[in-house]
Amino acid sequence: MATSAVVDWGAWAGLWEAIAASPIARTVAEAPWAYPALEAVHLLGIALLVGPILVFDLSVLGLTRPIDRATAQGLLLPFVWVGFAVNVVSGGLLFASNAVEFAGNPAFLAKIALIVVAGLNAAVFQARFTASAAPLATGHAEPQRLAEAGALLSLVTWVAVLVAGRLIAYVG
Amino acid sequence: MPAHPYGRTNRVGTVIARAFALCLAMIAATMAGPSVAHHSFVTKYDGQRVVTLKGTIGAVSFTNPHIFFFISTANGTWRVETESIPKVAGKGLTEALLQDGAEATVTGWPARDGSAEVGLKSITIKGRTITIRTTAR
Repeated sequence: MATSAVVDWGAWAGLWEAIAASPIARTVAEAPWAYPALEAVHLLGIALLVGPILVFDLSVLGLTRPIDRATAQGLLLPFVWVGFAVNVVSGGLLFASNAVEFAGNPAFLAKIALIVVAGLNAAVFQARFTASAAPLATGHAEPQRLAEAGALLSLVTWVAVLVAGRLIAYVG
Repeated sequence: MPAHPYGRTNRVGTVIARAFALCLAMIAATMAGPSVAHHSFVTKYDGQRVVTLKGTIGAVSFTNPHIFFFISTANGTWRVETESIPKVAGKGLTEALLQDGAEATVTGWPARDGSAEVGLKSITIKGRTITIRTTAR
């Protein structure tokens, strides 16, 4: 797996090696149950992060009951942030345990790129439709179409993040 | 139905939903097979061929999610991949047994890409033979 890197990291390669050699990374790699425990935490993080996002997106697309702004902002979004934080930490530790390998794995790199796309899409949606108090104009198709496009992109990118994550073990 | 705060119920949405559900089902169907097998083992190693390597163990990396080590033989040095720490240790192949410098005979499935690497089937080391996998599936 480690033999076919898709990226020449140049000077960065030393950083990945240093991360992989750090005491915490060695503990994750060498303690018998640390890695599977972190994988379980990472799965819980996925549930907290992606679950509410999918529910919200399906609602925006008109496939479930409407979710009002207060529920979206006050109930769903906090779960999303907690899930994101859990997965930055658990994912960071899993990455560290084999940083050189992950940094050269095409599925891992695709996953990170997709998270950036999904995050930017969410930020745009938040800025355009949620942060402002202005309601979506009823009777005007354009903002609804924009919201639906954002929700659809969100669905596709977050599912793609999961698929890319799962493929890390199968490619490279 | 009340006015939808973010979007609206519409036929386009229903079509999108059905397409999305179909995609999910297809992903689930395609991933169910390899997920039952362990990780990339069968995609990486040729389960139809078994090679036997006799030599000296070196560069043991007793790590999760997979243990790696090398074996120096008369026909060159081969990289050997096996399973996670708990699985391998549970079958008796402990870190204390799998030491650098130990003489061993390993059997394994060769890498499909032709590189000098095998997925471990069994290992004979310090008078013990331990079978880690019986099939590459």
